[in-house]
Amino acid sequence: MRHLAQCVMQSGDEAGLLLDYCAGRLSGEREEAMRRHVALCESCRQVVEGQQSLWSALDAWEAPEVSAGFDQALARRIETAPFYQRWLEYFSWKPALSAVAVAAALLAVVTLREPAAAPVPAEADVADVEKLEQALEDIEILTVLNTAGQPAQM
Amino acid sequence: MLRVREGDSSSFALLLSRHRAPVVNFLFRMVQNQAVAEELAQEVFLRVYRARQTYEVSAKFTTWLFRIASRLALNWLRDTRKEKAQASLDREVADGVAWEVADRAPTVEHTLVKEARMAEIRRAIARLPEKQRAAVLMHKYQEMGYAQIAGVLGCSEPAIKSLLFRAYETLRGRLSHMG
Repeated sequence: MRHLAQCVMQSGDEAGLLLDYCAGRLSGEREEAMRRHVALCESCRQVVEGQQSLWSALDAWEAPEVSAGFDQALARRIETAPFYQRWLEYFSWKPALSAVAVAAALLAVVTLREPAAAPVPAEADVADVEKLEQALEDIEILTVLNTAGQPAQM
Repeated sequence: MLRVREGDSSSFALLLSRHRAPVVNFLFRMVQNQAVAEELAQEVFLRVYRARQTYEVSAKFTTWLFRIASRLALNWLRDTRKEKAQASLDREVADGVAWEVADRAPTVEHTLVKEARMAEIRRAIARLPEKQRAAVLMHKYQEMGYAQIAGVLGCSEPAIKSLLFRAYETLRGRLSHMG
């Protein structure tokens, strides 16, 4: 087969028109216009002839019959579907996702608007401060006692 | 499908009887294995059944059905690409053996020639890029229009026209000696 320069009818929307002409799906003015074009354009004439012979070759490829047990096997699969899958039949993801998105947005707004609370000292911290104060008091008493027990210096 | 949504089980049976063969045949030509095609087709109808409560009429039912079927087939082809490469090498060896015994009787010869032609057609289609393959099968065997194929494959209509033309051009080149 001689290869000719590709015609403008073989790209974009026009390619669909040419295929429709090959399949005999055009009628009226469009079919007539295409017939005139193909009579003049050798490249498109080759496409039409090649396409028609391709389709007749493809017609020979038949698919086998569907197995007799197809419906029963499908029914078994439907019946034995796990519980969560049967529950999901009634559950639509789209509204659920929207609800989750709205809840997340509300949570973010509430978190951002709530003023930060003053840090509450932990119980352990309070006990440490009391121990420290007690220790300082003890040191002070010992100092006073030491000073009182020493002989007066000349 | 709307009656199936309302819980009418006989409508699901009707829907199955109407679409079972087209879906299985499409999947068979996509994956070129009848057992796998039926397994995938069952998955298609199982998904349809599960989605019956949430089904919304946004497109033609067959467009939605074939969208599920195409996705399952394309996923299967992607997942088994390596295994298929090995299998095709094995098949080429097997084809070679078949050609050697072609001179027994006219009927055997006729059968073998027909088988060889079919094998050639299957190979030519299998070698197309997956999206082109799906588009050709829907256009040629399901007789779908460009708009519907575009809806199934998620492309624009002009893009589908170009894609189909390129796919057929490739097939015309590969199978030109059959005419």
